[in-house]
Amino acid sequence: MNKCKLKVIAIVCSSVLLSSCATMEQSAGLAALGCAGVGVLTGVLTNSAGAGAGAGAGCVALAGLAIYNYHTSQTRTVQQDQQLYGYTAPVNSTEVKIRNATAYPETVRAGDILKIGMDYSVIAPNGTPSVNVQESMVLKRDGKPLKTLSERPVTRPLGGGSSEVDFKIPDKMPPGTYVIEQKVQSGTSYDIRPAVFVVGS
Amino acid sequence: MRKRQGVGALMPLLFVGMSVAVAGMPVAPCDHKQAAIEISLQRIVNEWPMRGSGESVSQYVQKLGIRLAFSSLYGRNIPWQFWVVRNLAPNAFSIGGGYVFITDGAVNFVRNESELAAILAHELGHELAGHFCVAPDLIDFGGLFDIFSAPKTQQHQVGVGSLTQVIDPVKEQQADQIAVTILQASGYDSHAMLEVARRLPKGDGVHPVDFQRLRALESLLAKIPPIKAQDSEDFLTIKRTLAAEQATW
Repeated sequence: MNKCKLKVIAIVCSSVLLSSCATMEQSAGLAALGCAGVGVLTGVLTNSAGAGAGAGAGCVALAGLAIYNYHTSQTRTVQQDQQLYGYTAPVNSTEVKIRNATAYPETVRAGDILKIGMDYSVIAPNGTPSVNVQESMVLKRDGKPLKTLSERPVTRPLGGGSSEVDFKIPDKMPPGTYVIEQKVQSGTSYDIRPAVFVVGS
Repeated sequence: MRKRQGVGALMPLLFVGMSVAVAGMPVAPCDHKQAAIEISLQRIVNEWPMRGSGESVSQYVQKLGIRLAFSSLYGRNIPWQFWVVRNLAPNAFSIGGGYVFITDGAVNFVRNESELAAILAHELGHELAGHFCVAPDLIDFGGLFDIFSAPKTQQHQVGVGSLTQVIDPVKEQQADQIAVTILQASGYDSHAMLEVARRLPKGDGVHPVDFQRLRALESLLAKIPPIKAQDSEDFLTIKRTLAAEQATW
């Protein structure tokens, strides 16, 4: 098998394993198995055994990162949202647009609770009472996805809404700067916004 | 913030260059529409999720758009700004004032760089032809033209977001003609225009086949031999970036 084909297969397998690693409901043992595979495949992709081992180790350390609390609410009516952001009804298509994404506190340590917040607008044609929105968040480091922290379908009334998710920082989470990308999608419209936090040593 | 350039004083000279560069399409100064165009821009930015100007996809589209625009003399005097909308449905449109919008879905949709250039060139064609200058004031909006909505036999309007989209079959064909000229001058395969038009999603009610436009393109391109245009490394990188983004989510 040539090197190119091997890399393609590795990419496919790696994405499958990353997904399995990311599912919050899974046991730590199963997650660790997936993470080991990620490490091996990362090594193949980068031709570096060290990089592979690093990726695998990071993934294992994140196995304990799970949702601690989830809170969602409508914060603005359609009229309030329009007034605040200067858009006008009626519209002809459904749009979702993130207005703000935060991670608080900016610096955390093992055992701390990290609050990930997002505020977004839901815009839809007149007569639409609510829309289905998929809210997701992915943890990244150095541009690489490490773990899907949350994926949940919600039904949103039009206007402005916020969601807040708490995570407990696991003991073995490596120090460094992380990015949590938050995404909302409704139909073909989607938006992504990053929030940065630092895990101190 | 981009500095907008006034071109009114240069317009008589630019018309001459334009008539050569874009196959005789008329151009008119559009200063009287600028306020309405800026309002439309704000409305779009406030309503729709957009990629940031610093993102690699946005920077690539801006670079490609500028390359295409600079192939015409008049195009060099318009303060072009290309925006990428976070939407998975293939679409592209322009609102005048040099503002051109393309969705992630359109970048995903194309099979090669010439096809992406063709989509942008069509939107440039509307601007270079002066279509926004003569567009009627539609509910406090200066006009919007969309490459993926097939024109019917007569001008009609459809809604996009809270804006009104003007579909005029004559203007769509004019934009196609200019786009072909731009593609030739830029070194892209102008036959990509036809490929894109033929491959548009069919039967979904949004992209009905416009046989008249296809025939006009076929006739125009019959005199132009296709060329083998190599995809740039930037284009291939952007395609990989979008694929990786989608795999992440």
